[in-house]
Amino acid sequence: MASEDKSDLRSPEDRGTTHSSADELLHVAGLGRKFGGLTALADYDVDLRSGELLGIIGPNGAGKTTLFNVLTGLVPPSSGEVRFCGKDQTGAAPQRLAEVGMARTFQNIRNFASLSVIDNVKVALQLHESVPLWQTIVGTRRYRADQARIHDRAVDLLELLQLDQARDHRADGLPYGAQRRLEIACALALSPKLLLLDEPAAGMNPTETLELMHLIRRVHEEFKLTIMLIEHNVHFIMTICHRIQVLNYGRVIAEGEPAYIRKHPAVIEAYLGHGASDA
Amino acid sequence: MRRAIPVLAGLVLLVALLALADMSLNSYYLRILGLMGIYIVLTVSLNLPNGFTGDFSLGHAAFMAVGGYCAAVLTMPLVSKELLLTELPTWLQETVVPFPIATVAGGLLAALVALPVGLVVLRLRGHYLAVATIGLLIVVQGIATNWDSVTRGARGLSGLQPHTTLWWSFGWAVVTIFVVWRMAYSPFGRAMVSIRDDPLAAACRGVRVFRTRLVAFIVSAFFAGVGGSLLAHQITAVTPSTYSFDVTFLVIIMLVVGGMGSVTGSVIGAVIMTVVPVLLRDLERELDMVGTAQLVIAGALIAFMIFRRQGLMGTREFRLAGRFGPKASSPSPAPDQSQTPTSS
Repeated sequence: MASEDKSDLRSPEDRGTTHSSADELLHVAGLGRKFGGLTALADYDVDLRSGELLGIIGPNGAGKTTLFNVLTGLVPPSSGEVRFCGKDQTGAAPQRLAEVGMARTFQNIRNFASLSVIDNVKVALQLHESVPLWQTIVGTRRYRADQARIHDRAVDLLELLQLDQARDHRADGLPYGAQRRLEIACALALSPKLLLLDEPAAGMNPTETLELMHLIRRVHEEFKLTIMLIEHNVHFIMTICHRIQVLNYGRVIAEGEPAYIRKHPAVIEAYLGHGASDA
Repeated sequence: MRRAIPVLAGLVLLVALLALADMSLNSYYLRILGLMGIYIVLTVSLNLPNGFTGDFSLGHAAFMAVGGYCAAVLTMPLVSKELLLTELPTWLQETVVPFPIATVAGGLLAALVALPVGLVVLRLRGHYLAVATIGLLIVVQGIATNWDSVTRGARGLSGLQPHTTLWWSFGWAVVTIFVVWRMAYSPFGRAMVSIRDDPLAAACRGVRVFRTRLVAFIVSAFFAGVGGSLLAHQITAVTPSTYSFDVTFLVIIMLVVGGMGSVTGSVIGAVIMTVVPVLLRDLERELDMVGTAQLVIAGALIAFMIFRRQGLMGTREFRLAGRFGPKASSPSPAPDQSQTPTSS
């Protein structure tokens, strides 16, 4: 299976299309990551155009989160190349990537527990609004104006994610679904071009999942975002994504539109085991 | 500006109390009160790395030594210099700097030392950082003991003028509280706390993790240097043992008792840990039970760590009716406070 020609993995519609660099946001080629003898990710390629919504699925341990960790600079790649907005960002630090427009959420929620909800958002907002420390200490007019603007933007974002009621609560005191929304709010606060969501619906009940789906669609359109989404909920991903990549054992085993992926034998085999595709 | 009124009222009250103390107390209690101001400077500044950023440093006394020796050499009267420091370069031999300038110079030198030190030790976190900063303390002690021409080794520098009045020690305490408060409850403070909570997530949300930690470390070192100078000019002498492990640990205890991550907690911790031992010592002298004071304090600290690990204030602040500093940017108190400063 590993020796299969790559072009065969793509759906007929995708085959042969080369995206022009003008609207190409992310170009990844041959990305790989080894942990000791374990290959967590190998020969990963993707080209994302602005505004795309790419879903990534795969069994547990397939390398999905490793992919996100490598893309966002938490783990340096062992091989390969990452170009973001036309610039080489291979192995760039997380802070740098956030600066150029890559934002992510985590599978296990990672908000700042001892900060209030609104301060969590403000931490992210101040990326593009940094004030020299002396101005902070003196409390200059510019500093106060900046803080007022950050505050207003934070309130707007919290309203968008229906968190404005809880704005002064500590982040770790929120219900689970709200914590997930807070993470998304923080990611949006970075004004990203590319948003990477790692299992945003994990642990949510069906109603919450549905709401989240609408929310992701909404921010995708309103913020003109490009989104990469890892999700186990197949209905969720099939409904929302334009294109889906399937990972298994650290490799892409299939790529294409939802309808194509649904019928792809390699995908069925990865999920249901060998022999299931013959049935 | 209405927010400033309670703060101004507090300052006026402080000035009045200090003036009263200055007139009525004997020199023994005046010294203790002065020491309290110095400990406030030290504890509040140590809160920046240890409390807010989650970088547990044990090297505060090292920066105090740098600042203390620097200021002592600068303010020492010409007569004493001719006698004690014959090997100093002539330009230093012939200059005497006023105490306030020497104190700032001591702070700046400590901050300057903190830059390269921070670049190295802040690659570590948690226990490893604590051990590395103890190493720094040992290095500085070694230099102070052996650099005879400047520090006079174990004999130290004596004959300093008693410049540290109540006004200087509490003046610096107020400056330290102001600066640390403004830093803690600002975007910079949010960045510090985000790093304490989760450095990786902070980096993913655009926080310049290393730079923030380094700045907190350096500002903290500046005030440690200032505190070192104040202490030197209160005792009127500096020896390597002036800035020993004892001082570092006393300040750490003050910080922990007050609550790491709370500026007002640090003030309270410093006040309590200065006053209580003195009162107990008076009491044991009266009851003729010498030595019990230390046992009581030690026992109390153990009990304190068992029953109130987060310190008196936790991460909360004691606020005057209005607010002090920028509005509502502090973490709000929550019902459940799990106070683990570092998650590494």
